[in-house]
Amino acid sequence: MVVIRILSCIFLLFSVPALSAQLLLTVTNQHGEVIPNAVAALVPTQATDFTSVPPAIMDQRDNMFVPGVLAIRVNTLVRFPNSDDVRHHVYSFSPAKKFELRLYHGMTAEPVLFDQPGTVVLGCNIHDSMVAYIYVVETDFFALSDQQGNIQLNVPAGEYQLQIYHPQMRENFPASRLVLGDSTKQQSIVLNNLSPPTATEPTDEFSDLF
Amino acid sequence: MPRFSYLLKLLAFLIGLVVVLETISYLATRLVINKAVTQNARTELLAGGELFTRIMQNKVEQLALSVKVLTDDFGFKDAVATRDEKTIASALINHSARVKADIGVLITNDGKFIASDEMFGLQILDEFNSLKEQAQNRGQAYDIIIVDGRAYQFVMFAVKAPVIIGLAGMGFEIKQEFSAELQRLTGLEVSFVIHDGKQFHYLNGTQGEQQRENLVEQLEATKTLGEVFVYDEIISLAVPAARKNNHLLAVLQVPLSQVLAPFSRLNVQLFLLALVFAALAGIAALFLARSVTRPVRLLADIARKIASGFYATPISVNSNDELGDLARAFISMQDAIGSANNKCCFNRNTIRSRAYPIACVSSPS
Repeated sequence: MVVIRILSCIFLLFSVPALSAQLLLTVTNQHGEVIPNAVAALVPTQATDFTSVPPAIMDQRDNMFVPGVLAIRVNTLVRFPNSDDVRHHVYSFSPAKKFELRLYHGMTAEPVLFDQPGTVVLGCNIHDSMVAYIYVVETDFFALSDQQGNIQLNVPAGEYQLQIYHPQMRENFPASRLVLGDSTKQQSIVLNNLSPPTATEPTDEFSDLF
Repeated sequence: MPRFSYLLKLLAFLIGLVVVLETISYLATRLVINKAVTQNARTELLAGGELFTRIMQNKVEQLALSVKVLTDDFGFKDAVATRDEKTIASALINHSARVKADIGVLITNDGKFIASDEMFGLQILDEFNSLKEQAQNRGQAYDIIIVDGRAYQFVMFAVKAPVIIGLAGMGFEIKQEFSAELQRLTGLEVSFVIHDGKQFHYLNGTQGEQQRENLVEQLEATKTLGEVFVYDEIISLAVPAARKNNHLLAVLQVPLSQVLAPFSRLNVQLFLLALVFAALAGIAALFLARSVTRPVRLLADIARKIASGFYATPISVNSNDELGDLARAFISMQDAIGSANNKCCFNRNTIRSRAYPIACVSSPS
């Protein structure tokens, strides 16, 4: 279960430019440990037309996807350059975007257009340990939490829906509506019931089974 | 008193002695043999149990390998990700047939159960819950699944693309043929007993109807696994088919009478030997008794003659033992009585004493 706790309220210490709001988030788990690489997105409640955005990059180095978590706006092209000296076979079976880039080297793979919002889990068919998450959101206002779990979002004042994503989340973050004025709002996000980090790689020792 | 009383006493004593000795030695031998044979049977049962565990382990590894091949297949992942149920079912049928598994299943992330056998899928309630949970957490799991009175060895793996999109598993049914094969390998009676959380049920095996009921009753009472126990003259060992629970037990058994069978011939031999010894003792008793009773009977005769007034029966003594001593004492007694009597009535006795033959007293040399 995911719970939001509002710890402190609006700060009105210094004036901010008109029609500009700031949302400061700190993402932690229920034990108070900060959670990096959580995606926060503020989706305007009024539908907006999207202009073209520059393509994003999902690199592959040392048999790992770099970055492991990528947030993009809907209709973004993502390139999948391969920086390894081995080939990769990148695929996704996620409903938001199902695709397959058969074994390829370097920059030869065609960019992939992510035209639907949602979570896309990437894998490599020949390297089982490779995994990456692309969160496709319907807004230009999104960011990832840093190593301290902090996220800063600068948006025009208005009404938004706050979305939070993280690879270890078991369920969707409950939709929450935010009205942001000409001020800075600080909020703590607590993610409960995260699945353990992927360090628990299962052993291939079948004899352990018995 | 009958005339043979001394012979009978001696006979009874000697034969009794032989019988007692033979009985003691027979019992001691039987005890030692029983102990050795039972020990031997225990070792045999434990070896059989070990063999069973190895076979089960082997089957698990075989299942695990084939389930892993299935879950790593890109096409299968595609079918699971797109929830293409017909394709998934046919892939399960195909793959199960390849490895001769009896059943193949796939459980999607939202709980949809797809099986290679439609009927199997319809009967599932909570049987897979613990297996599912383990496979979710560890990526792989093994357990015994009991569905509709049938027991399956089941291995389940997570289908990862690259996050878990479903759980695939395959199972071997524990069939009657398996118990027959185990019996052939170990020479032991094999029974598979399932435990549904409350009580035991006989699944299948090589035991007869009555033995099955007794076994189930016994298991309810003992509940000790991995240790040899004996009931109704049957040496038994219960081995679980999975390390973590006792959903399925293999009960290996051997009747005490069967392990003792080679030694029943020895019993017959021991009995014959006892008979021969008893006969020898009888013969010995006969000779011994006669060597005592004959001279005693003669002396008794002479004593009766003396009583009736004959004092001149000749007694020849040719032995040196106690009986000879007794005879010599008799002679001197006869002489003493005779000479005392002669003084008063010589004429009357002379004629009579000549009419009797010479008596002879002897004892065994």
